[in-house]
Amino acid sequence: MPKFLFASALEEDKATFFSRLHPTTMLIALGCMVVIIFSTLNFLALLGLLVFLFLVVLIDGMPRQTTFTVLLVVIPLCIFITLIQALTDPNQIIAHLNLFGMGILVSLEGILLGLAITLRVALMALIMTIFFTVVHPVKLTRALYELGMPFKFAYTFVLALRFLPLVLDELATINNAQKSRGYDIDRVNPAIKVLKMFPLTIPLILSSLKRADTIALAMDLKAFNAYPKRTFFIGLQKGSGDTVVRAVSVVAMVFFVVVTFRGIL
Amino acid sequence: MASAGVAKERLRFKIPLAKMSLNAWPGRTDTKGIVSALMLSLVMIGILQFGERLDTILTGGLFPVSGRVISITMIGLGTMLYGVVGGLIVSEINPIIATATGTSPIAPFFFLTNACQVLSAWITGKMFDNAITWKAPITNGVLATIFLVALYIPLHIFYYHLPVEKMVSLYAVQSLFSLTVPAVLLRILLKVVRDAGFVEE
Repeated sequence: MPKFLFASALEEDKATFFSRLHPTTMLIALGCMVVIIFSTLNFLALLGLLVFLFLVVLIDGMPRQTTFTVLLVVIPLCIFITLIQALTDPNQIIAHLNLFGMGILVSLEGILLGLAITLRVALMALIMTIFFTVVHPVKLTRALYELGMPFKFAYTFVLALRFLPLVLDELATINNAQKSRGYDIDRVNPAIKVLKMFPLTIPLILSSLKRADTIALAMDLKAFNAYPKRTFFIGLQKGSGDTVVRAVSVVAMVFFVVVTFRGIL
Repeated sequence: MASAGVAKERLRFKIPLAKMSLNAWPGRTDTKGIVSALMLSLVMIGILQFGERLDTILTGGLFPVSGRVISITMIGLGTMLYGVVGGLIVSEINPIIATATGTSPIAPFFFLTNACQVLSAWITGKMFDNAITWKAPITNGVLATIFLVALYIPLHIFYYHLPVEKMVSLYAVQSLFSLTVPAVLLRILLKVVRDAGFVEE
């Protein structure tokens, strides 16, 4: 399993409160958080939610570096959105710039709106990362199966996580092979990089499809999905923590939606 | 005459190409079909590592160009090879991994934007008897571009509060690339995959 999946590498005795929860509970909490995030664009409310998530990560003992790295990815988006909003919003102009003969107006309302939208994006990214950090992929597969998803489709997520490092290794090998022949993709102009990817893409696709044949044959030989009902090695149990988290999530969601629609936030 | 007719019949490559006797919906859903679609999705994730970085640096990922070219090509390939379910596997694994690894802040929206590309490839398959022609990939590119613009505009208006009327030039640049490049790439890839023996009756 890839290293970023904290829960999969976690031993049972070192499990945190959230990693012990039933995956369905985490799915409900995730859904409620998404509704809360979408229900408001109030800067302070979104900031409060961000602080709350920071505290959850710190108190629960989730890996800080891997969880918060996602916020770095939001920085270019933050700059882009805030810039557009600041330059296009006609209200509360705070500066008038003259760039190459063009008059550019900078709006304070636009800057604040841009920052609020960025906060919302950051929250969405953070909540999703937290979900995949604490939920064990195998447990998630089982939960999805219990929710009615056919096992062969639910299992693809676990399979993807297992084979992702393999495919990335293969890509690195093909890249090195092409480099040794004088074709260095890393030195290509970034603007046309996608077009120049072909000498890497074709061998990678063909080798992956060939590998898929072998994997599928091996899985069929081990009677993958041969029986309609299957048993699982990993057990899933709901505890009192699950009930509390579900109740708190739903109550918080209802509270936020009501407060927002009444215009309090 | 009869042999010429048979030869002409053989030139028809129907979706799903990996098992042309099946319907495009649900397509090839045996273990081989699922695992192959999964491997294609991982290849897409691998290639997107190069493409998405550029999009994120330039526009924060809001107006992806390289990402869109790669996704239309790979999801089109997956759907044309393995049908709708295979296409959905190719399209939906990427947002899950992108969300889990935190590679793109707008990854949760890829669930929807990628799924619409499966729809475009499926409609293309319905429209043409032979998927390995120039017409099919071009139609796929056109449909995918229309669907994506139709999805991105509400996303930009309601989620990012962007002034869409001032973003027309960005949409135009994006669409110019997604209309032309994926069609060429997809056509080449379909031929390569057929010649490599991954197409079955």
